Amino acid sequence: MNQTLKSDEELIALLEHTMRRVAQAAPTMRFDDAHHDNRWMATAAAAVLVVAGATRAAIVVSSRHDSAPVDTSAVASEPTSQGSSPTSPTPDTVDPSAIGSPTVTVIGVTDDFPSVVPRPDTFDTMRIMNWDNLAVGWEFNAQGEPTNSVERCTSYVSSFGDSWTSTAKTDEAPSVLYARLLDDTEWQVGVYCTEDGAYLVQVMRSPNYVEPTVGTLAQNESAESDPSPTTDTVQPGLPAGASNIAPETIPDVVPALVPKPDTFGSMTKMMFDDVAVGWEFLEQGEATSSVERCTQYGASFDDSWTSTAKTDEAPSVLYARLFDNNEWRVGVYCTEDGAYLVQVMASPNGAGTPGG
Amino acid sequence: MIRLDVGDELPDEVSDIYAQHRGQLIGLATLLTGSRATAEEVVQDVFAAAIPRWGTIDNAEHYLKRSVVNRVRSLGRRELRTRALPRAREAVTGEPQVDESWRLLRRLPARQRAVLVLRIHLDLPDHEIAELLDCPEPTVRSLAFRALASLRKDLQ
Repeated sequence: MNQTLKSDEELIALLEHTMRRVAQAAPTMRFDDAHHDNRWMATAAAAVLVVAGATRAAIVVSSRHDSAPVDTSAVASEPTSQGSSPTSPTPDTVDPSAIGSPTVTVIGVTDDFPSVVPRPDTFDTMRIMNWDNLAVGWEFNAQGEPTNSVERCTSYVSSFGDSWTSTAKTDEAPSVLYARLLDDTEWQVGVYCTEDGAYLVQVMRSPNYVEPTVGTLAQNESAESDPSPTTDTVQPGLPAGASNIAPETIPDVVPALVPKPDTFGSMTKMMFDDVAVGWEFLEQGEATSSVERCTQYGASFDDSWTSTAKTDEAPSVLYARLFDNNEWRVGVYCTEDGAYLVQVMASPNGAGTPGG
Repeated sequence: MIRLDVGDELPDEVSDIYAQHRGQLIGLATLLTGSRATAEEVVQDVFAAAIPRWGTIDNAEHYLKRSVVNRVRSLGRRELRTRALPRAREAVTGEPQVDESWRLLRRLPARQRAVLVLRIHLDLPDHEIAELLDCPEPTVRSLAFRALASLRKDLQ
């Protein structure tokens, strides 16, 4: 976009206008591939009320996604909306045949299931996950006892070998007691156990996957062929609005418990609406040494901190890790261009409050 | 199972509320999820869950909006995965500048986008946002700061 936003007010005004227009347009959004390469086909048909039994009711808006979008990325971008979620209504809340999605087919485990993925044989059911009639993965469900659901997850995860990276997912609802992603750059397996005993495994293409594999998920080859976007311009975290950041000195403001990134040349205070929200250390170094600086700083956190890899950054972010001691959260980022960034903010788990 | 057309055998009050607020709620859910299709699922789930307890709801609009936010929160896992996958440029409103800023909004992490939507679109104060998102109020400010900083960078 060729524009420069000079102030928060201008940016917020733009966002306000954008949100208003999108919200207005949403109910009637249409898909017009004659003029654009990627649209939703959201032909919301008649709303139907489904009453199951005398006391149970559900409104089902039967929106057919007529024909697959031309841009395959749109197909790949919404796959899990057909999968059941650990926090979705349970089948006894709403009759699944009423809400059901005609594109989900319940079948037995097929030969197409990737052999590199440990097969969760103990599951009751397996579904092919579809989006707009394209297969995007497999989903295994089981309803067990609340008392042993986590054990089932951990047992299954232990069957993955060293070729898989294993990352805890921390953004789930509180009812999800166990959530972990395993990734071998070809497949990504999500394993979830909830407090009500539900046990879910989803097997999908890894976001890191590039080359399509013939013979697996054959219906969806086109959807899989578009790799994740690569952007070499993304800076993690907070490139700051320079106008509202005031320089501070390190020893006076950073909480004592947070290891100080002493090698940094400068530190800025992060402000929002005139309220301090954290501290940011930023330095531009050599590309060859940026990751080493991150790992070195990361090693200075002791056992009172949890350490979690951040996996949702852009590919240009070579190192991204969050350290959290339930009071403060420290984000450490190194990018391929040598940028080195440390951000100290209040932990979402606690009540750390930057002075300001 | 009985299928009824909306308006035929629903209580008039529910039919009216559904007709009156469905579009608005889909708009809100679209902003929160970044997906029109997911938004429709969210709104249908919200109404489905609300009908059995309809008689106990005082302020339907307020209740339904909150329910949409809560329902979207429960979709965190889906949403995150969605965000990690490619996004193509979409013409949603026909206004290039709006479509572009919407594209950037959709790329934000779900919680950052939620904070902006609740703050800017619903004009909620931070303490209410914190309550809705189940996080401390400073976190709301942090998320908003990060979201705006990220958008500012992308827009420049």
